Amino acid sequence: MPLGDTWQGYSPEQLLLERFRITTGFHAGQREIIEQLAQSKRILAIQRTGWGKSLCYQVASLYYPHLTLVFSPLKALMRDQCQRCNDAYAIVAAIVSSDFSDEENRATLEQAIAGNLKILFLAPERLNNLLWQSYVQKMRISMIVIDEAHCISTWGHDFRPDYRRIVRLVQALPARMPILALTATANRRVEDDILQQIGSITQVMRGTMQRPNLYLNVETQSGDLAKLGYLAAILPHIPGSGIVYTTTRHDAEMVAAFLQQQGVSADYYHAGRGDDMRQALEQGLMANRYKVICSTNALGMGIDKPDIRFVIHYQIPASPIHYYQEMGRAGRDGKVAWCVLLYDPADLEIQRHFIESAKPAGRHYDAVLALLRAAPQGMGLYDVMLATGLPQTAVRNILADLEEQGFLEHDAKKRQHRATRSLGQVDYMAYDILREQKLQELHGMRDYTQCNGCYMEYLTTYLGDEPDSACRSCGHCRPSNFPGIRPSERTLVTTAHFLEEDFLPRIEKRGTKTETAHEAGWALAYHSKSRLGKMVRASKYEEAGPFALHLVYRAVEVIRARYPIAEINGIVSVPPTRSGALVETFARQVAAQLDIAYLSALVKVRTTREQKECTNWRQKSKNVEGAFAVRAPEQIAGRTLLLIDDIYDSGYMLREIGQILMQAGVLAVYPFAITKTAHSDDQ
Amino acid sequence: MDLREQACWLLLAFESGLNTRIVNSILLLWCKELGRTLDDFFAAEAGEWSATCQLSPEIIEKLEQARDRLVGQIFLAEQLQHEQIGMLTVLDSAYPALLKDALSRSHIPPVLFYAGDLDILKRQAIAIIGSRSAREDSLAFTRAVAQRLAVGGTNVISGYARGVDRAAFDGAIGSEDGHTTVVLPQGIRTLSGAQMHALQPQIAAGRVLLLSQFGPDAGWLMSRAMERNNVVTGLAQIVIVAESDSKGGTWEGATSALKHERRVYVRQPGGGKVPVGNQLLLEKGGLPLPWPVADLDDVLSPLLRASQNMRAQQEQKTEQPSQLSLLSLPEA
Repeated sequence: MPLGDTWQGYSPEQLLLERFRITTGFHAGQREIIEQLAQSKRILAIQRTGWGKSLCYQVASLYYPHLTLVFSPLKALMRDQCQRCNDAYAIVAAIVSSDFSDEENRATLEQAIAGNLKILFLAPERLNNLLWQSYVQKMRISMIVIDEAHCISTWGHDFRPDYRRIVRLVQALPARMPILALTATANRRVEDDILQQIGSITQVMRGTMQRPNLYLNVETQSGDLAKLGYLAAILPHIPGSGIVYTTTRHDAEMVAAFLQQQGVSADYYHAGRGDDMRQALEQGLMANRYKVICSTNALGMGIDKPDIRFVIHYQIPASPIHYYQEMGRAGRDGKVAWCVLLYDPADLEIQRHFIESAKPAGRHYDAVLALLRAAPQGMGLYDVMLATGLPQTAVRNILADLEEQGFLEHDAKKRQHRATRSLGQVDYMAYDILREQKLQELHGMRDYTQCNGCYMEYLTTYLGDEPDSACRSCGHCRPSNFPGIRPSERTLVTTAHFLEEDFLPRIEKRGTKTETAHEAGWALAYHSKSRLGKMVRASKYEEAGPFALHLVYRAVEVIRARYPIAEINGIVSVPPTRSGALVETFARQVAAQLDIAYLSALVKVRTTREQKECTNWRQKSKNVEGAFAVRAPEQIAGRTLLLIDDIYDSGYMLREIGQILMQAGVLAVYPFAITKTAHSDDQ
Repeated sequence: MDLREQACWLLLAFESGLNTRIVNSILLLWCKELGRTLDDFFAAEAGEWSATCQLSPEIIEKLEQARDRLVGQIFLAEQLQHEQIGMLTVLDSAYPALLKDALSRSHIPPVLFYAGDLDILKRQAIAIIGSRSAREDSLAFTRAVAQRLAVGGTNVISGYARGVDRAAFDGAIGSEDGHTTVVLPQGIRTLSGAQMHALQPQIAAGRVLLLSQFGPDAGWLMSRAMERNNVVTGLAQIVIVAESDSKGGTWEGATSALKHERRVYVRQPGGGKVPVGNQLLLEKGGLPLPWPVADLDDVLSPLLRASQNMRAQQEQKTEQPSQLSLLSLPEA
């Protein structure tokens, strides 16, 4: 049937069966939405994840002769839906996005104006694209779909300014054009806001957010030892495959490494892994080749696996809405699935840090603007970081916001920011409000962990359901669903061993593309969380004496096991900031044990501050620039050295030293630190 | 005007393929006479179009086809709004009356796209026109005159082409607090990123007004360059010709202005060679503007006085209620 015609004569059920080959029929509500759309009405559909919102517009599109435009915020979402339209439903669909070249997008747009496409997916940012702008004028459009419509609302958890443009378009479109707005996460306030924006002629069709087949629970577990022990104990008892969500990439890697060691088929997933790898992991998960994928929230969008049997959160997520979406990926097939949140109050800090960085306190905005107003020639990002000491993400966000408010202009070529002539004060009220809102949401998440009643009811009420019924399956409604499984002593021992011995913190190789400063290496443990870290702090800051011999022996063990010991023929150490020979003594002891020469080759040529006094990487980098020199180059030229320090933080110290060693003719520098700090201050 | 109405204007004026005279007729009969919106227009039946506007079947056909493309124009209108490009229509009260006076129904632009402060158009306005490949002395003349006029608060109008136009722009902007209006020979969105970047601060400061009568993405065409000359001269009380040939854009603009009985001043270089066109224009009724001179003010003050008088006259002009034209403003 040519695309220009419609399936007007067919009922939705006929279409579902004959065209979509779905034999299970519609949910209550799906049919209603399709009918309304076919009559050119406007609808806001608020339905839980997995309900089948997309099917509504896919069926409805067939009742119209021309194009259906679908606005979506994420390419992964678009890819998923587009593929389903083409492969499963034989609906000709395409995407214009930055995933494709200009030629490919042009070809797609040609198809659109020729009337050969039924559904076209695009992100609202695409509206700025010149190619799009010229082609859209020739398009004939029957229907518009706004996916993830909560992005329209500043009250929602994922407001996107470009969605405001979609709202303006919708307000201007002829009343006879059908419009479908879809979302799974809109509480009453967000719902009202959306309606106010896209017009009161819109009908709302809200379904319950309850997911009766999901069993929710919260486990309070402090620290990695307890959490990993818990995972080791519980996973053998849950059938099928699932996801462990972590807040940081590092934790995703660590949990995966631990589970692998426990004999569980696991791997890690985050935005830092290459595209090919990520695709392979997604496919592996779909084909049940893994028991667990440990991931940041990078995994999920576009994964439509019906039989995810568990979603475990290793750390508390940012808000109940994020939690609802993430755990909501479990049990799409309607069968029982387990959603457990491991709650450690200390984890609230990480989320708070992200919130503060995204929209820093008002006084920081004032400080940055005052700085730039006093520097008419302009300043670069790094200069601002140096002067203010604020984390890089915070500075970036502040500069972007100030530019948006017209106080700064940005010279992209010279990478300078300059104050404009615009007078007046920064309006950070909006940012304060946003930050407060996010903090509120975080507290909402914390309250979930502390609630005494039904967990599912808490979440669904938060999302706008009327509070009516307990779910009868969560850890509070039916504790017997969650028998207390505790890790055995043996498990705890192997877990402790893993944390202290096997999953050593890595020191990444540093340098430029052409010149390496130092190779990769290791530290013995994380600074703040470990026993070893405590020992280091005791010696360094609490006058407990030289670094304990235990540390020396551990270091020697690790160096023998992991470093190219045959090539290393010299050991150097980082000169101290203040007086004291802690590191040198330590290094000499290690050298003695390894029977390799210790060389006092490095000197400090100027004083530096303690690196930990510097609050961002720019300051740390500046702090150590040119602070060191090689005493006698002939002593070290041609050698392969082991470079020892006590604490590895931002890495600028070691990089600086690595560089001057290499310049002095050293063949390679292998770094070693006793401890490493857990989070880099800023990216 | 809301976004949809703007889209309807875009549809009618640029996308429908109808010529200016017909577009203006429709605006007159439907919007002005009947007081209805273009949104109404495109929602109406073809029969109503025939009845109210007396349109031929070919025109009706074009309008029917255009109607299908309204949604695309809504996207365009939103984009213009997003880029802060304004739309001034011939029915807006801010549309310069002088332009409606100067041009016929076939040439009055139904829509002027703009960036900058429209109030600049309320000033005393003097247009400077001249050849793209003008001599150095003509350019010096242009810069000096433009600067002097701008210092006095005049809106200096030019076409932004190479040569005299650009010299006029530079002269006006070079003076402290000078104001200038630039009438583009192409679509307002076709200026390059670099060009826009250079103009932005002046536009934001309220010193430069960009105007274009063409579709936002319309490219440069000789015919468009000629057409916009009518707007350049039409917006001004007085036209100054720096250098003209005996044919071409400047010549057409100057002779057209003379034909419409506008005051046209023509540079008269003393002693040296007079450009061919300048000489002919002086013979055809152009008033001489000698340069170089000892005191430019001496030469310019009669010109400015004349321009002020004309402005005063225009403001007093009363409209004929029976006159069915785009000239008269809509009933309040």
